[in-house]
Amino acid sequence: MRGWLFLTGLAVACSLSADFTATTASPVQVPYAQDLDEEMLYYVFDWGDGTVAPSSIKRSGIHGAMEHTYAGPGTYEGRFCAVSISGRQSEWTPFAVEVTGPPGEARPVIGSRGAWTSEPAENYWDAPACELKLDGLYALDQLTVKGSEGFPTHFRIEYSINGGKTWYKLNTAQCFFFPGFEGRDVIFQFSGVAADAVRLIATRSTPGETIAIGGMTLAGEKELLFDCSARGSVIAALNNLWYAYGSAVNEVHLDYVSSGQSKRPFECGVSYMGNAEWMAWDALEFSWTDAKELGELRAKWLDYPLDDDGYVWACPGDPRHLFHNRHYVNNACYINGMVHYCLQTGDEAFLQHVCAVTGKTNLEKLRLAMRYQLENLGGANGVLTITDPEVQGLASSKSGNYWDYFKFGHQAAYDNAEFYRSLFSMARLERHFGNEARAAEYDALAVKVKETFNELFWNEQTGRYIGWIDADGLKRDFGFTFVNQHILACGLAEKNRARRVLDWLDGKRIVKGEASTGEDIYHFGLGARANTVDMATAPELVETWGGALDPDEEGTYGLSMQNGGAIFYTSYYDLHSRLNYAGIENAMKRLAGIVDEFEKDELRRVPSNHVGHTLIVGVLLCFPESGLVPMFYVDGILGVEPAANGLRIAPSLPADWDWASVKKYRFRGKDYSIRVDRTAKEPRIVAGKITVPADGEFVLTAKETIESFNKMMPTE
Amino acid sequence: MKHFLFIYALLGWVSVQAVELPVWFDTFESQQKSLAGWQSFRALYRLEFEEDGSFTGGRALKAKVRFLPDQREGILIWRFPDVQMHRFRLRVKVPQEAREVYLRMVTNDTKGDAAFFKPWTSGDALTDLPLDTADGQKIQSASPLPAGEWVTYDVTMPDDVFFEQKKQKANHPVEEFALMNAGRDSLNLSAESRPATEAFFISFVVPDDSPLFGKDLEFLVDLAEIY
Repeated sequence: MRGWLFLTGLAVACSLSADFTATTASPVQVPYAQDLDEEMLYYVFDWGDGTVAPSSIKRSGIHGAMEHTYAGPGTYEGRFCAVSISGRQSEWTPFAVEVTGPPGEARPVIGSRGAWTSEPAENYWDAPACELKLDGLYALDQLTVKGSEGFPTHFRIEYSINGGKTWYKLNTAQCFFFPGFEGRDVIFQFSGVAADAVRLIATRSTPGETIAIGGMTLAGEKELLFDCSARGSVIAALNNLWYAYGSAVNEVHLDYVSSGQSKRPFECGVSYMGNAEWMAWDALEFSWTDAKELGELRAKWLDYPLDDDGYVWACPGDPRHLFHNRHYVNNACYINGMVHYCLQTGDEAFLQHVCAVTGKTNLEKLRLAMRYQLENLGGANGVLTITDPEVQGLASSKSGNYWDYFKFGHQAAYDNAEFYRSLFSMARLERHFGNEARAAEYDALAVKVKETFNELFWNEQTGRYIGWIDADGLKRDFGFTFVNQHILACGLAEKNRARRVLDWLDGKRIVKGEASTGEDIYHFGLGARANTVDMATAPELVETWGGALDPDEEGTYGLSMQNGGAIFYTSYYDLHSRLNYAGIENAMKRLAGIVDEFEKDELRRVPSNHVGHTLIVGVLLCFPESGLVPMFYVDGILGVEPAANGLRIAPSLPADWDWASVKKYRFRGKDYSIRVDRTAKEPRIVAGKITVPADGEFVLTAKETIESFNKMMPTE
Repeated sequence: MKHFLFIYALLGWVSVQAVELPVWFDTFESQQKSLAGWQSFRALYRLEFEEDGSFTGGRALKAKVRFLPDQREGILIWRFPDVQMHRFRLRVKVPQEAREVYLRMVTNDTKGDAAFFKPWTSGDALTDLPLDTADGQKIQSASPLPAGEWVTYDVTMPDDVFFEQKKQKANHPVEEFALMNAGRDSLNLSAESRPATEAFFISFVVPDDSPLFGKDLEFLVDLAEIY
């Protein structure tokens, strides 16, 4: 038995007397890896302390581990088995855990109910449910369902944010052929999800029979991760957007890691992806947390490959995007992500690490990546210009960035917006190290870039920014909403131009003859259509991926995420655009539209078009960037972000919010709670709890003092 | 009389106990109106829900279909957890005007191989399935679905499997979409070790001279079950 445990290959702490050791403050991790005839399965853990817990659904044979925190010290004899989708069950595998430490604190109970028995089922598809409603929103921790005779074999756990009007699956709690555990407590972890009701619902009944449970107890706390005075669907949705698409902690990951994708029918959120263009977003999403994804991101970045001249590879294994061609926006993404990570975590060792691939420190690599933009791509002249013959924005070219159905190239607005952002990133970093002169150079260049950008990329006729200027000097404008949102979010637009862009997006200004105008631009609710001009109007500028993409088939306007469809992450930039140029109330109005959609199904939708493609809207599966959207609460509403001289807090509270807070925010190795409060007169920090007034700008310094500023910081 | 009632009750009990319940199924009852696992393809171009108390669980899946001369097949794709299935049942209804629509199914397993299930047959009026198979040679006997009636398509593994496979080609005709596999030489459908099934491609097919070309049709699926 113990030999088997060692053979799993996972690092676990073992002692001579027990298979595992743990404390009452830290969970034990018990590894598993069973194969039941290739069927999908889940594991049932009998922890030996009177509790039983099912794991999430997994692929057969995948290595993983289940965590459990014991409430008191002692030696526990546990066991686990695998149960497959058709009811195959493995032998029980015993294990022993030695737990030390003082008894843990009891989890605060926020609701309970007694025993429950359903009516006898008439059909096997009857779905009786036992509900537990709360007196408002709570951050849910653990649901305990007391076992009894008649405990359901097929069930799942669900929660609601509107008193039971709509129910959402707790994706990690879907059980079939669940073994009976009369007298035991079956426990389910919610990890902080915001909800005001939970239920156990049977997913298959036996005709003529009842199901029963011995009762339910729900632990949690009143304070949400993201909290505010206006408790309702908006704040609940912001929290649960984070748990679904940010941490993705309650999602089905058929493989071991939470970056591992699920597959239909378990369409779920994914936490991160380790490619250059995604890693900047990964850094935004995870640098303020203690999530394991941050460690994985750091490990991937440590020896991330660059060419000798400073070009940043698309992924650790290849310089090309999907082994196709180079994307020159990689450098800006690399800089923006890494600088954000370093300023947030204070990870000096990371910057000084000598890269095994390039022989340079990561700080040197950052500077080299910037030099590549300035010199090789001509950014020092005010605009990035790509000379690679494959990326010229012409009919003969290939794609140039994340939006790889279009031949963005030569001089691309999207790439230049990221370049503009990267100048501020490097200025912050250099200023952080006291290199004021070099930082000032970047600031000065940013002014020049902004001027050049507005000269080159503005289209007066359509009243918006174009996509790119090709090598022949032709300006390409497909009505790219995401490009314009990106530009406004970066602060690149002049004020009157920003207003024209927002009027176009909001349907107040019609650009005649386009495929989408007016209210139709937000047809999908969760975000704007990617573009308003059908790509089929210029099929030669469509990257067909060797014929795999046909603009008249899967690429049909409105049926493809990159052509009239929508990708959810763009809403993060949309919200910031509005905050920058139209104010917080305008942003909150857009956020309300997103929340309306979220309330329907948590955006768990993958509609397919007539060729079977399920990429009309990009939210789930291969879109870890969806987790950016709830980050608007952190860096938009609370206005918290790392700066050269500390942690900057520049809040923008909606008018009907008296206060807003984030419960746990990690900055340079310490956890803080941050609260923006209209009643606060002065900023203060007491035992890691930061409170600042709603108006103004503040910085948490390295000495853990808070300084007030009356105006924007120089780098902003 | 009492003895009769006792025996009748006992038989009833035995028959209830003998009923095998599906291990995975969809009655489309989900409150979230999620289409999890379902995709439309080719002539079957959109999926919606239809509410009606007469449906199993009160809801059915409505598939919008428009056949064309170069699109004689509408495919409903159902993806489900990897499972060792031995039987599949589907309750389906095509509208009154949908004459000569044929039904068959292809499974995809976790190794990327495909297996054909025999087409729906009513026991009489058998014709040839009007869709060329991979090599354009093998013809399966089939019956058109009765229009305007609920039909239960019920097949078992491996008895109802029609052996067919084809290696994936570049530029393959779209009709061959469901025939893709990872290039293995033979299917292994033995009970001892068989790959788990992960998806069904449920095909509605019309002849090449179908009067339905260009017409907007709505097909209903009330219940899908895997045993």
